[in-house]
Amino acid sequence: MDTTARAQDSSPPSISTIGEDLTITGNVTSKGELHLNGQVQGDVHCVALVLGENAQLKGGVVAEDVMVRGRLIGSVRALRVMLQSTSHVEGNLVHKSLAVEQGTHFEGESRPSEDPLASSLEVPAVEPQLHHNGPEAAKQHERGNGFIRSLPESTSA
Amino acid sequence: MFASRQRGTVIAKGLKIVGSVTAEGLVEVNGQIDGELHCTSLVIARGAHVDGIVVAERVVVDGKVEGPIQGGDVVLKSQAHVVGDIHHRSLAIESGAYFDGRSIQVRGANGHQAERVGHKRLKQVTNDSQEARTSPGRVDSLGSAENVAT
Repeated sequence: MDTTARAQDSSPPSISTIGEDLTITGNVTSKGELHLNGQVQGDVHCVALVLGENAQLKGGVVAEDVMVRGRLIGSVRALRVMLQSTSHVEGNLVHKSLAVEQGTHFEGESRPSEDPLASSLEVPAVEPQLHHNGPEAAKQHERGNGFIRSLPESTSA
Repeated sequence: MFASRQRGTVIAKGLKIVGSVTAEGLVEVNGQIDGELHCTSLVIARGAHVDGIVVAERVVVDGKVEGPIQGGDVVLKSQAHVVGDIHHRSLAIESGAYFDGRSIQVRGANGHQAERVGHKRLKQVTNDSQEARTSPGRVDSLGSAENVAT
């Protein structure tokens, strides 16, 4: 990971480690790298995040680099996102680059973006093209403008 | 241009198909398909373009797919460009791939979430065996069946 100091940082980047038996309820902000092995219920803002295998994070993540080996329930906004095989991720990912290892459990949206960390970005905007299942899917089944993003409702159990 | 081997189909680079494609076995797409694509194993090579629903047991994407993918094991290679939801049993995305859509993990055959359904069924079995002997309602014990009937 790139941990060279950014222009705004006056202090050298540091690594904080949250141990396995530590639970934090509330938001966590770091100007450097964060190794999370415990439980956090809240948002995490940092430069680089490594979510350990037994870690659990329920909340949003905003970082430049995110590597997930544990459980993450919430959205992620990062430049680089890496989901390793032991990870379980439920939530939307807004990223510049995404890699998902075989074995990962990932449910949620993947939204590539030029600037995922833009502060104005709250929730990934739903494009005018159809996003959810429904009658629109049937209408657009005729090869018209756009394409079918998602499967018709009947296929889901 | 369009060669069909014994167990595999190759759609070469210059070929464009508009309409549904259904094939058994392995299909390798280097050209363009505007429409649905159903097969067992699918490789969408670099430069290929599929615009429509893709349904296959095994899918390896290294080209462009616009439309939902319903697969078992889905792999997006580094040059993949996928816009659309991916239903899968397992999903791997190489670094460099572009994926804009929802990842929906389903387990078990036929795409339904067998794990959750299994839990439900277990509960229903125990309740059903009690309800079968008495009418729906409170079941205290077998002996009080007549009280529950009303």
